[in-house]
Amino acid sequence: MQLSHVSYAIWIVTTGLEVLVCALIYRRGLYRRLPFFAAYLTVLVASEGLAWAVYGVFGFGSWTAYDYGWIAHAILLAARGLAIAELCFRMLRSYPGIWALAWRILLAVSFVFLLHAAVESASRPYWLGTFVLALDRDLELTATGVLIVLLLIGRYYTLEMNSLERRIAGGLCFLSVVVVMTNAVMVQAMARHLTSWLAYAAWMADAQTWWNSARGLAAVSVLAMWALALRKPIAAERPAPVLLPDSAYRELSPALNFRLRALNTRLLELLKS
Amino acid sequence: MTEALLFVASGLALLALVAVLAWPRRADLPGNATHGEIPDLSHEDLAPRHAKYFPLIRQALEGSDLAQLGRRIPSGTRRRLRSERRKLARRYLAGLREDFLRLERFGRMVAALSPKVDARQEAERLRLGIRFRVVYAAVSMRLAFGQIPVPAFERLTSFVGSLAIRLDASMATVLEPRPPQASANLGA
Repeated sequence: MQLSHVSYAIWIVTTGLEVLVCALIYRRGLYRRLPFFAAYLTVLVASEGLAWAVYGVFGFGSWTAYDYGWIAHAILLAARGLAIAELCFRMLRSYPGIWALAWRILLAVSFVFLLHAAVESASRPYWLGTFVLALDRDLELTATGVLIVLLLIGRYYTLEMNSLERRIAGGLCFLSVVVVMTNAVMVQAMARHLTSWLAYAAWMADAQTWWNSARGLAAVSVLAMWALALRKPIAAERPAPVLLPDSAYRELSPALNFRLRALNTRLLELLKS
Repeated sequence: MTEALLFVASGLALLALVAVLAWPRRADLPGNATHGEIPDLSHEDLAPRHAKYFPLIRQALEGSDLAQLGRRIPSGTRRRLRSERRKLARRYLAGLREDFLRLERFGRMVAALSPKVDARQEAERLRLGIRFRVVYAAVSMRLAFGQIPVPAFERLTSFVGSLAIRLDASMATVLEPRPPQASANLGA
């Protein structure tokens, strides 16, 4: 099995953009602010270089390439997980009250999705391909869930979030959503084509081109967005906001909630009258 | 196949949501107010801006005038008058919503700037905000169908007015001992 010309073209563009973004991260000093994200991009570039070497020596359809592909993918998933955790901390740490609340929510979201991943993967033990894809899909779903909750918390509390960090979070989330969608379609399609090995092999060649292209195009869009964001020197960090005394929340919040609750009741009366 | 389609549809919806959330807000753009500098949380701004106009609105909404006129004016004019009244009521309701949202936003900003927050209080405020929006939509729909319950409007208005007065007193006691920069953030 060989990669199609389209897949090669997308792969070359993706690798080029990954190298560019990685170089910009070090040039702009973003590695000091987001070390795990910088490490993730570095691992990504290194894995792409190794992939070119492995595919060149052993061929794209070889078992060595297959094993390498999934091992690299697992390492990248772990690196991305750390980068996401770092983003959550960076974006919320200036707000200790919200951070104390948010990390529990984010942990609960991760737990729920990981539990879903475990259950879903365990229910597909009959074939390694669908098992790995289902697991991959659900791990990406976890990343999506955590990032969306993070952005929602930021929007709900109108927190000041650095524009670059928000773009990085948005980009990672976009990538995860595309992976979830493509994997979901592949898992279903694989299960349908498993009845005949010959038909499966013929279908797989086409499907893989489609799968690689969809993921590749998503990666190109996100990397281009990050490269654009990093084309100028990154802005200095805003000073942390001055916090209110402890008593402000203790006194105002229950009073406000009481009033909002009562206002809701009045509005409901208006509806019923 | 249904599961795959469900994933794709949900994925597209999520992509749209991510685009909205990751897009910079006006306050984040250079030259605009930042979170710490948002100035519109002063005592005056927290006062309901729309509730105080209720006497005038009430006059316009009272059905008796229209009923009396109804016998003398042509049906076309009567329809136009009804439509104007509905529009007025809708605008007024939108104003009350603005008052509610300002109070709600104040609560969220206090939480954001507090060293400790209570999960139950935050969950309740979130629930109340969602509920208010749902009921507001239902009331708006009712108005669109031509029903204008004036006494209920009056009760709602006097209540919104009383909220601000009590809140003003609470704010005065809470914000007194704050450092100068933090006070400026809340416009105190």
